[in-house]
Amino acid sequence: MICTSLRERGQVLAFFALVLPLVLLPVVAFAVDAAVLGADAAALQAATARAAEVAVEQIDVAAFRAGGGLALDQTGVVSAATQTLLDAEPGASVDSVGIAGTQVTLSVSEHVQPALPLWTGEVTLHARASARLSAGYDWPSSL
Amino acid sequence: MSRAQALVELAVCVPIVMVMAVGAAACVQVADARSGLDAATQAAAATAARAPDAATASASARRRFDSVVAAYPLRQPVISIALGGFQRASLITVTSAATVDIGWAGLLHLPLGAVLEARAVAHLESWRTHR
Repeated sequence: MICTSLRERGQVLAFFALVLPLVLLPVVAFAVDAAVLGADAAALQAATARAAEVAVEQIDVAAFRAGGGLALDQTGVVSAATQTLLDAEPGASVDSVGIAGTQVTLSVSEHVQPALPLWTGEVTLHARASARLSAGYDWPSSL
Repeated sequence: MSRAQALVELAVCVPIVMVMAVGAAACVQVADARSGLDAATQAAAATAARAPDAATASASARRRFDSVVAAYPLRQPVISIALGGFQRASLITVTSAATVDIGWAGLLHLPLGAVLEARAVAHLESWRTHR
């Protein structure tokens, strides 16, 4: 009986010593990282949408005044998209800028280091947004 | 002698597990609140940028901020809106602050709350007519 008791001593401690690093710590790390990365992904998506909206305002003024209708200045679109994105998310980079008529589609990515990197060393977040320029007044002009 | 030994060992381990569980839950709540404050601030800036005039911009931005922030666990949200003259291509800057309440985690000597801040900048459309 005494031998059995001695053998059983510390069993719970040994159990926790195994379960803590193998199960509990990774679960906690996953929960924290998932929440933080989710917030980062939402912020990146919002910044991408804003960058696309600013980019699509880059009208080719010369073509417009020459009677060519609404067209986008491609250099201005790329420059405005990049600048607006970097102002909001300095770690992000523009993967591609697609211009189709008066529509701009922006694809961006950002490498993020998790706060508790037990699962993975680095995560790459992606976001994509489109904006379209349309003619018309939201409010009567000064005419 | 061996009676209740497992119970004693469990009592040693449970506080560690509790701190981890409550700490993780508090971190998730703060991250959720931060995300909400960011979203509300950006929504306010975007709404202000689409308003026809400065007065409407300020009022509609505040309404939008209040409606978004209400869905998140934030207390005493404060918003400040700088319209920058409300001229074409100018910038609207919105800053906000709020407290996230994690008082329930105070049992484990974690902070009772955290003050969060957010900032968003919106660009007034270059070609849009404003009053």
